Parts: sequence; C-alpha cells; structure tokens
Amino acid sequence: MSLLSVNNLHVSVEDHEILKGLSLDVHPGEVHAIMGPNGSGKSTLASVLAGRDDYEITEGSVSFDGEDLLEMDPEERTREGLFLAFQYPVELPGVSTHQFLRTAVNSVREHRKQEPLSVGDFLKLMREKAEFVNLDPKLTQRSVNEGFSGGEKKRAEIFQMAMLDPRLAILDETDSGLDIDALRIVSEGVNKLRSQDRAFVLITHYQRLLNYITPDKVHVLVGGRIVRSGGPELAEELEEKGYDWLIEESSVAA
Amino acid sequence: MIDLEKAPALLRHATEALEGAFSGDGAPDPFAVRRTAAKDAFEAAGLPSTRDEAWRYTDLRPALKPDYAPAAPASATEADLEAARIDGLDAVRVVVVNGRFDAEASDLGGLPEGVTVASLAETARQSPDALADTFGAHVRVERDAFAALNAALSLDGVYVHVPKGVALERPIHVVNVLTADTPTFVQGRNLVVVGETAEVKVIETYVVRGDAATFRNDLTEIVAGPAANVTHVRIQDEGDEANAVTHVQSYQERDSTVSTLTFTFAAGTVRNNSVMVPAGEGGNATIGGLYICHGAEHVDTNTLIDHVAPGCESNELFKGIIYDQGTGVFNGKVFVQREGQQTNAYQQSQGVVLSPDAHHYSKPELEIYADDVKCSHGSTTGAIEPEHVFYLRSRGVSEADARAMLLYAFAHDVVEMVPVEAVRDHLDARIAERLK
Repeated sequence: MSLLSVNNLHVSVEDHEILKGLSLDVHPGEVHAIMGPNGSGKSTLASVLAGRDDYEITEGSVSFDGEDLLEMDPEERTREGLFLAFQYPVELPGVSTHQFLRTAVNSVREHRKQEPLSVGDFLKLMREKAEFVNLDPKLTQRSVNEGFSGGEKKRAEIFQMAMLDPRLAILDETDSGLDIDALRIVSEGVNKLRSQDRAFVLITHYQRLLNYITPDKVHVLVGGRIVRSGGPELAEELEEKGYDWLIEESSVAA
Repeated sequence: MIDLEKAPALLRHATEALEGAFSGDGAPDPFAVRRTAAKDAFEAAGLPSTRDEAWRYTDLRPALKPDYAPAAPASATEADLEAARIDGLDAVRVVVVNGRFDAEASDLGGLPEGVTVASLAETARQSPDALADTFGAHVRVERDAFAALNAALSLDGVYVHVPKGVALERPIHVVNVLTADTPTFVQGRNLVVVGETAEVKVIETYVVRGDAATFRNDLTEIVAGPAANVTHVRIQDEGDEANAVTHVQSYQERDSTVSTLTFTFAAGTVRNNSVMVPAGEGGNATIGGLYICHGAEHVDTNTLIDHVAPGCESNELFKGIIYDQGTGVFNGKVFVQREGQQTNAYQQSQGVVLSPDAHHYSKPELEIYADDVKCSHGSTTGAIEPEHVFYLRSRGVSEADARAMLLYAFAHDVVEMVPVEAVRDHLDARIAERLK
C-alpha cells in the first residue's frame, strides 16, 4: 500500500491555481525526487502536504497511510509520521532548542503511546542524533536556529528529522543555498536515515543533490502537473537539457 | 483647584490627612517645608485626566472609585511573608506594612558595616542631616500630582544607604504588604542612596492581604554616587483589584550604572512613571519592563530619560503581552539636552496583542538638542508571527504550546536583564503560568 497517495490535487492561492491535478504515490522505503523550474508548484506541494494555511484545495485528495491527510492539523501530521524540512527554517530567538525539541519528541511519543523521555534520556538521544547527522552539538545549546548560517540551518533540519523519526520526510529545496561541503553533510545525513520503513520526497530545482542521494523515482513538475516520471536517469537528462524541452512539450500538450 | 464635593474618596481622605499632617500634633517632621511645597503642588495640579496628553490612554476614574481609606498601622503575618517568598533568594529582607517599616518582620542580619537599611521616618527624626541632600531632592513634584501627593502624605518607608566602596552582595528584598479588608490606599516611599563605587540590588514585591480594592501611590528615589551600581527590580503581582500609580526617580553621578526593571503580572489599573537622570559624564541608565495583561488589566508605562550630561548611555526595553480586554500603554521619552554630547540612547517597545479587544498603545519620543549623539528607537505592536507557530506545529508541538513557547521567548529577554538568578527563575515561572 502507498504510504503517501496524492490524487488529482488542485490547489489555489488567492484564486490563482498553482497545482492543477497532481498525482503521486510513494511507498515505504522509496526516495522520490520532484524536480521542476521556478514557479512550477514545488513548494506549494510541500506546504500543502505539511498543512500550511492559506492554500485552498479545490479538488483531489491526499492520503497518508490510508488516512485523509488534508483533514489533519499540522502537528497531527507530524505525530502521524510526516516531516517537512523547511526551505527557509525560521529563527526563534529565545526559544530553547532543548525545550522545543523535548516538547516535540514527547508529543510524537505520546501519540505513539510511548512513555515521555526523561530529561536524561532526551539529552542522550540528542547527543546521539547530533553525532549521527554530524551536527555540532553546540548548536543544540542555542535558541532555535538563532544566528545559524544557511548550512547550519539545513543541517539542523536534518537533525530534527532524525530526532522525530518520521515515516515520510519531505525536503523542500534543502539543497538550495548550500555549498558543496554542506550539501555533502546534509546528503550523508539523509542517506543514513534511509531505511525500508522510511520514505523521502526530495523537492529540488537542481540535479546536483541527486549526485549524493540516489532517488528511486524522479518526477518533473511543470505548470502544476507532473509531466514526466522516470528513474534516476531522468535527472541526468534534465541536467543535460534543462527544463525547457519539457516546458515546451507540456504547453503543446495543454 | 480640586472640587472636593465631586472628588473621589481617595482625594477627600487625602485632603483630610493633609490637614492632619499639618496640624502640628505627632512627632516633629523635619521635612515639613517640603511637605508644604508638595501639598501646594498637588493642589495646584489636581488629578490628571485623559484630557492631559500624558494620561490620554489611562482613565483613573474607575480605579479611584472605591471608597478608599488610608492604610492603618499593622504588622506582617507569617502568611504575608510566605506569600512574598521567592524560592532560592538569599536576601536581606525588609518588610513594609501599610507604608510603615516593620522592624520586627524584617531580617536585617548580615549587613556589612556601614550599610543602613532602616525606617525612613525613624531616620528622618533621628538624623535628618543624613537625608538632607537626597530625600526628595530630585523629584519634581510640580510636574507630577501623584509624586506630590506622596511627598506630602507619605509617613514612612525604607531608607537604604550603602556607603562608598561597599558592594552589597545579597540583594535587599523589600516586601510591601497592604491590608485590605476594606478599600485601602497607601503612599509607599523608598530612598536608596549609594555611595561612590558602591553596589546594591533592591527587589520589591507586593502582597495584598484581603479582597478589597487597593490603591498604591509609591515613590522610589535612587541616588547613585560616582561609579555606583544600582539595580532596582519590582514585581507587581497583587491581583486585579490592585491599582497603583508609581514613580521611580533616579539621579546618577558620573560613571554610575542604574537599572530599574518592572514586571507586571496581575493588577487592576497601573501607571508606572519613571524618570532617570544620568547627570554625570559616563553614566549608564537602563530601564526595562514586561507587562502581561489579562481581563481588564491596564498597565501604562511612562518613562523619561533626561540626558543632561555628556557621554552617557541609556538602554530601554519594554515588552507587553495583552490578552482579553487588557490594555498596555508605553510612552517613552528620551531627552538629550544641549550638554548631552556623545549620548548613546536606545529605546525599544514591543507589544503582542492576542485578542480583538486587547489594545496596545506605544509612543516613543526623542527630543534631541545636541548634535553628536546616537539615538534609536523602535516600536512594534503585532500578533504572533504565523510562520513561527507553523514551524513549531510542523514539529508536532500543539498550537497552544507553540504560542506559549513563542510568547515566553518574547518575554524572556527582559527577564535576562535581572542580575539575580533566583528572581529570574521566579519571573520565568510566573511568566509561564500567566501565558497558560
């Protein structure tokens, strides 16, 4: 059964239709890459899946492990096992990373009918996961993302992902703005977190990320629809030819 | 002039008390001259109304309506002291009940040689010369009717004197108790005099015993000598029947540092006036506060930092969190006189408004007559950033917890200005409770 099933999804923002009938099936363990030019609707897809306000779903459905995802509050989606790594993680001065993550982890655990972690166990988990994704533990002593560089913010997102142990992780342009070293570290983190039970949706503009994370499937999003799907070789073709030929093809088809 | 027929009870009682104070009975009053001047100033000024620009957003009439009587002499109870306790605070404890120094309930043990913590009235009677240059010396009663009323009527209070070179490590915790079986008003008074390079931290908290309405009219004077260091912290947390008009007046000689911080958690109508005068070169004046208003709470902060000397710095940070039908007001003025060259003055006022009926009025004012200064001010009033709430929710945190976390963070940097850990912990705990 699909872990995530998106069916004919139509989404508008302020009466402007962004997604125009998008369908996607993701099974446990799979890594999907969704690529597309600017304005194709990539980030809208990530936002709608994570439950951000201000998007109007006019048609279609999304189910997550058989349940209606669109009916759930954002926190409920996360507790059910969905995780969104933000394109622009916000800085929250004064919000302690410890306190925030302990609340987050324990709310997910409570939902899974697990005992809350004690302070000691939580700190241990945090040390382990920081090491696992190669995050400087000093960053976890600070306020959430406060004063972090772009690369540190993205690494912190992967760290939070590791802490929350999701079944489906959506990475919204996590590669954008990263230098090659940061990209490598982030990719390593993702690769280490790959497992039979966990699926990934990588949303990206550039093929570069896929040199480090080999996807099972690649989809090209143009004008709010997936216009082509294939294996990793499709990403290489895009790298060579750019998006223009697909944009032309899709506009001819439309 | 005041029309006594129409005046609120507080004013009638105050006027009677004024007459009594000048009838010549009781102990000799070494400050009778100042009292007379203050009485005249009060009668000339009358009570302010919302027609006065400085009182535009604060209508005192409802707060003045109860039939207040002057607070009578009383002693502190164990329960009062327990209510005032701050966990983990190792402090010199001064207890003031109904405006009068309560020596029995105070615990002044362990004060270093030369440090005075005493009844103001007692000191005035026994060694008036000690107070001659400081008591009432800097407050401009002609500018402030309530300060004038206090100067005319206050009977006692706390006198702190830290002589040259003494750094008092333990803070002084002033516990202000007010008994209120019936509506009660009181004139609280403090004088804190700190000598050259001396240091002191004064923490003021308030306890009301009884359910009736109260009205405090407090006046605290701080006089800091050269390179002295003074921290003054107030925690107003007496409940929604507690009304107050307070005035903090600080006067600083060269290179001194004075910080006055006010936290308001539970109150009726409160107006906090502060005037800071870094009067000598190289002074540093810090003023800050946090007000969390629920229900119909109304907290009005009015500050003036008067840069009359060159090379001084001032930092001002106020934050308000307003729920329900609450009102927060901030009016902060920074005045740089012609002599105030190389002044650095920074002012920030931030309000978060959490319901459609909540209000926050923020009015920063800079008035600069020197040409070589750095001054900045910022004033924001808004809601919680939705993207911040969404970020936390997207990590599994409930919306309510997310909002509480963000508000706590918003409030916390004012708490960090308090240099006493136990007080910071106490404030953090109270903030967390008030944000629930």
